Amino acid sequence: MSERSVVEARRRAYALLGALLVEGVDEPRLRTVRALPPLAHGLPDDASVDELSAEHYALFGHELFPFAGVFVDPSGLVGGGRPVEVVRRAHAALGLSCPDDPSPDHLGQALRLLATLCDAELDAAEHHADADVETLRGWQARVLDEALLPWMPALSGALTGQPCSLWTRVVEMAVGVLAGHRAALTEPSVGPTLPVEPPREPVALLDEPRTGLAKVAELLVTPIRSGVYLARRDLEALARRCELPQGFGGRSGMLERLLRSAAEYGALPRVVRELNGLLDARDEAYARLTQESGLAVHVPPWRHRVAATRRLLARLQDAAQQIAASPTQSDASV
Amino acid sequence: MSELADRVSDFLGALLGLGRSDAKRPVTDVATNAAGTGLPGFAEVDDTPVKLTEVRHPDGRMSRYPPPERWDDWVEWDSKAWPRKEARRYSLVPTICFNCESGCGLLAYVDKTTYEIRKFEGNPVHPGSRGRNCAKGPATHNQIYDPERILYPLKRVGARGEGKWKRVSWDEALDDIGAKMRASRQKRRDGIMYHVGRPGEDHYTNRCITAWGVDAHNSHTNICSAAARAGYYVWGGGDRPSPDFANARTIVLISSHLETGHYFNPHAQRIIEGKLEGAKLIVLDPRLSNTASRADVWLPTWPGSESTLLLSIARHLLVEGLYDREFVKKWVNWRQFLEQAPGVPGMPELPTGEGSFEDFERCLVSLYDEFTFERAAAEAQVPIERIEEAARAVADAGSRLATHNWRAASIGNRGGWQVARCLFLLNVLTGSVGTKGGTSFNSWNKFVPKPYKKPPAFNAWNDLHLPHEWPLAFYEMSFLLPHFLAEGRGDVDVYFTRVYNPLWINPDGFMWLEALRDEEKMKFHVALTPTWNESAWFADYVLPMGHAGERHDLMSQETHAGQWIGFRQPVRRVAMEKAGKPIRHTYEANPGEVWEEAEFWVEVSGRMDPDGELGIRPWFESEQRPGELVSQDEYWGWVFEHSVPGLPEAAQAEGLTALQYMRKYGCFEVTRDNYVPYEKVVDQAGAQIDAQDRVIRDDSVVGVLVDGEAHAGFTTPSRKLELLSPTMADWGWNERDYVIPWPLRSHVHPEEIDRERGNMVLLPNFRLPTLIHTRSANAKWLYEISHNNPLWMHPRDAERIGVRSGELCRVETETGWFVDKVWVTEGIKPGIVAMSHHLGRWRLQDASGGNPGMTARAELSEDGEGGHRLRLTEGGKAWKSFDPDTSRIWWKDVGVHQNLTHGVHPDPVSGAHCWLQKAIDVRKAEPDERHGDVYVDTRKSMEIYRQWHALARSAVDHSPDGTRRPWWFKRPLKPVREAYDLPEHPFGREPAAE
Repeated sequence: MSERSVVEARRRAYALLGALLVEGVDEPRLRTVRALPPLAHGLPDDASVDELSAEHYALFGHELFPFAGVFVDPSGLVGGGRPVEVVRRAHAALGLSCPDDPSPDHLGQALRLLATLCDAELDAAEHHADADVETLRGWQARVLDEALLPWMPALSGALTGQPCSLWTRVVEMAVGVLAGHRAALTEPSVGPTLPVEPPREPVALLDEPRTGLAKVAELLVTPIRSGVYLARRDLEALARRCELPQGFGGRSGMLERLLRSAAEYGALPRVVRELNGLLDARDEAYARLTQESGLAVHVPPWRHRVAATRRLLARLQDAAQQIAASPTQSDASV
Repeated sequence: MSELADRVSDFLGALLGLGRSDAKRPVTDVATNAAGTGLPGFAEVDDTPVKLTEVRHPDGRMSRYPPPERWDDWVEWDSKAWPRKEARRYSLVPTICFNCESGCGLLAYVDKTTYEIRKFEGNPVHPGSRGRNCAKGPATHNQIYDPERILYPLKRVGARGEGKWKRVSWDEALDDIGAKMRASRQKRRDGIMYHVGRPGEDHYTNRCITAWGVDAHNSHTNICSAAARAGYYVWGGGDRPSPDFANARTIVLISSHLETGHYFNPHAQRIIEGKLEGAKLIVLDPRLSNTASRADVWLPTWPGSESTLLLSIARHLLVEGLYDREFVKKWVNWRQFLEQAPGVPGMPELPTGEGSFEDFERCLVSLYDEFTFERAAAEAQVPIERIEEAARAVADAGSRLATHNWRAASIGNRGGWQVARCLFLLNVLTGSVGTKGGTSFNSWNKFVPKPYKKPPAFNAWNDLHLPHEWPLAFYEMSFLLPHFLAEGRGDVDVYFTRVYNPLWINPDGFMWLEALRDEEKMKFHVALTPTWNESAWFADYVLPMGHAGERHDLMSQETHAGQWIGFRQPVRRVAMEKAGKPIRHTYEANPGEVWEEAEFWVEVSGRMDPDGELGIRPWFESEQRPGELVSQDEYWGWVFEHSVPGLPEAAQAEGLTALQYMRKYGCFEVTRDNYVPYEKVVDQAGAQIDAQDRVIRDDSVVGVLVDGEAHAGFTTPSRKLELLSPTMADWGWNERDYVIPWPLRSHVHPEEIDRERGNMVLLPNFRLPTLIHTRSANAKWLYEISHNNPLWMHPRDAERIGVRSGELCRVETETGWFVDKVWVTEGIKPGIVAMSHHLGRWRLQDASGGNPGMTARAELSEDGEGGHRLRLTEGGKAWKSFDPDTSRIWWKDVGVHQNLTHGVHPDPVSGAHCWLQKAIDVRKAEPDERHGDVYVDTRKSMEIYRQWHALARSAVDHSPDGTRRPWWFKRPLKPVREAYDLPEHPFGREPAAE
């Protein structure tokens, strides 16, 4: 494949994946998807636009929010952190105004931006504007390094808790294309933009006198602090396995109530074991991503956070077992 | 190569095998906005603010506001940045509040760089609100930046009510809806129904419906103000009152609802002005409302006794000779009374004598003589001294008596329409009709311009709106729609709910639940709404529509003795267009793809009739661009240039077009001090005078002779104020108690409420001044002020029942029961319990259907035989969003949905739902009964419906001319005369024998 063909293919991939993520499917786009075996694999012949749209809404509207802020901002909220700034600046560099709907840190927005950058690179190459090509590749590297790749491991890991669907394949393919794209660029990497170690050891939270289960839950559902993204479905599965109420509401609230119920029914050790199991699965998924050369450098920060969260869970486990063994608790449970 | 890289390689290869156009989607460079996904951001500018304009009013008030000449480029310090001086630059765009029906002016501060809205303040040039707003106006900002708002059109994917939605484009929604409307219109002219909650505008949508040629208008008015309107209309042809509070000497209110809720801001400020000038305030209300707490005389009447009390005041005026003889002689249909009253069933013998005015006076004294203060005090259970004091104040008012009845007693009681009639009798007797400080009709103080290209009236009658049993129903019998459907009266092809939540707001909500779920009868439901609601959950499309500041509407209200129009505008769009950014559709400027009805109706009508075959499309086409659909600029530009007297000239004086003027100021004062318009002299030349002294020209009545001079008069058939209503007599209600102002026995009359057996009256329909019917659950500031609706209970009742404030009580109604917390207070009359009507919102899923902080999570269960149960599983709670305030929600109790347990009570005359409920039992809740529990048996619902239905008098039996309804009676959209003919096969009647 010629270099130009590769850029063209990437441009099409970004445009299609970006549109799928932001807008979902309509009939013409579904026909396009069906013509692409890596995406269409496993897609039922009779899958309708309505069903796929409902799945899209269910996954990206309720379960897995594909925004950088959710993964890399300490608030865990949409629109936070450095990626927004990078995406805005890249748009400005192209002379475009940055669309704000959805927020610029949405994965689909960044993919569309990369499609535009690839398009511009093709035009520049066609006109032999080598300096422009270089500038545009520099922007591609920057968007990849600062706005996208840092959170791709956690996003990719979060897919393990979701049933396989067209939409998980779209995310998976986006991660793969981005990794390959970065590997193909010769611009030097700025390295991981996330600190390798979490800024504060999570276990230290337990030493604070005012820490309650709400704080622990908040830490665990904030990916930049815990190293993993816990979707509602993950928490519901966890509750089912531990035979505890599944709960509802925001993820933090769900987990807090789950921990509270576990403490009340003496099931905290079991919950901690299950959480550890989930961390193991995610860590394995992260380990596999180190094979992707464009992504490898962004994996360690997540694995370090997972390890730190394990330490917090170990302390929680000890505390739970001590409570379980205390006479008061024993009396109460008789 | 890793397995993933392998698949990526296949993917890229496959993509290259495709045509370029298939894969490429344009990358938009049009900035929309961040609203809906983040808090608004504002740009810093290098500039310094100028001073506010300061006005000192003659009454000592002071106003400060940005001078209008600086509105296009207004700089002020950012208050949040204090003590740093950070300047922000705004475009100040006026609009009209949408959070009640007052139409107050707002001024949006739109950042000139980000086009985000900083705040809404009062519009100082608005004649009605005069720069002031209540809490609901500024809270528009909450609604626009509500983290849970619906941002895109949603289409149902699963079964109705399952809660599965997909996002669709406006194009897809318009095509689908337009096609279904077309199919219905081709088949019949009563298959489309537009059910409006908050109109917020005066003619636009009605024009659209008329152009469709169908009988589609269905309103909420029969659960709102229809009863009072009916009373006023029968008197004088005006459908509601417009008191001149600021100039009154005495003010009588039977409408805490209105003065603390509906027209709160413009009316409250004028009531205070009147009081400052010495006016006496008299309030009839069994509850110590905010208004009652400011009264000089509070009359906590037993519900249903109001008419008796008012007639005792009328008697005082008559017996003491304290009435305006000249006015009564000139303007009341006393001759008609003397001719017809003696034959009226139930009428006592009257001293009609020779038929002189003096004879009429003697008749009045004789007729109303039984309404003594003693009788009034006994029936109302109010100290007699207070009634006497009120009567003296009314007598002292002269022609400056401002009175108002809107909902309250008129919509609470069976026969409530007579409350309005008895109240207005005081205005008639004091000659305070349309005078300075008196009471006008709304049409004199409201201005509705002629629309652009007016389509002709349609030839259709939808029996689901106005069935033959209620020929005098003042508005559509909308709250009975589910009962009608259950009886098999018909079905609906396309049902639009517009800013309306029928399942929640109507009585008997579970009947609505059953109707909305029934896809055979309610075939297609489109919810046009700015926010999630319980009914939208059962829609096929949920289409997000804008709040104030996100839409075009034109409205006017009778706030005082003058006429004005207010222009609601999409403020971001206006600011963007001023900055040279072209916008085709308002949803391009609004958050997400939130649209506005004004453009939606044009587009959907175009798709309903794409080729003009149905004759609909031409009414929506532009005059400037033949063949294309009309734009909002074109529509309103035409209206402002051609339909509003004085506006083009005022605009020209500022070098503006009329549209530019309205975009700049957002309002225009059409007339000021519009008093006694019925006295306007009419040119008699070429006119005929009939036997009733009416002036006829071109087959139309244009006036009436009074003392030999032709005046405009009133819009009744006699052109006089009709003390005796021939219309009532002609249409089957010919007894004394109906044809003249007279008390009718309420369904909660003391004899119906056995207090010894624990019966009480439930007063469920009072409003709080800070909430917006069902639409507050997206306004964090408003919910922080008030979020629960406890059961008001007098200490004596609380002691009898054994409950204290905060404890749970179970209230049993005719159809079910609910559980709520009690608030023990002397602010409610013994024997009555009261609950505010706003609260108790719920949602069935956690992640959508309502804000977690303002709605309760609920579970619905049914026994399949009519038993429905609602249980709240979780109250309001904090949640995480881009708005940090949502994590600061501190309350859990978001109220109880009481309306579900109300049986329907259609008044046999006015058709209005009589809201007061007989509480069969009120007792302390059992341990297994939880706050918010609701149980209803819809089999009982139908029983109650049938009981009230039996009271009606059908046009089939009583119409004097074979028509369905008096021609002169108002209808929001009046069909052609042929449509008034009674149907060949009225529902429920055997087909006529051949």
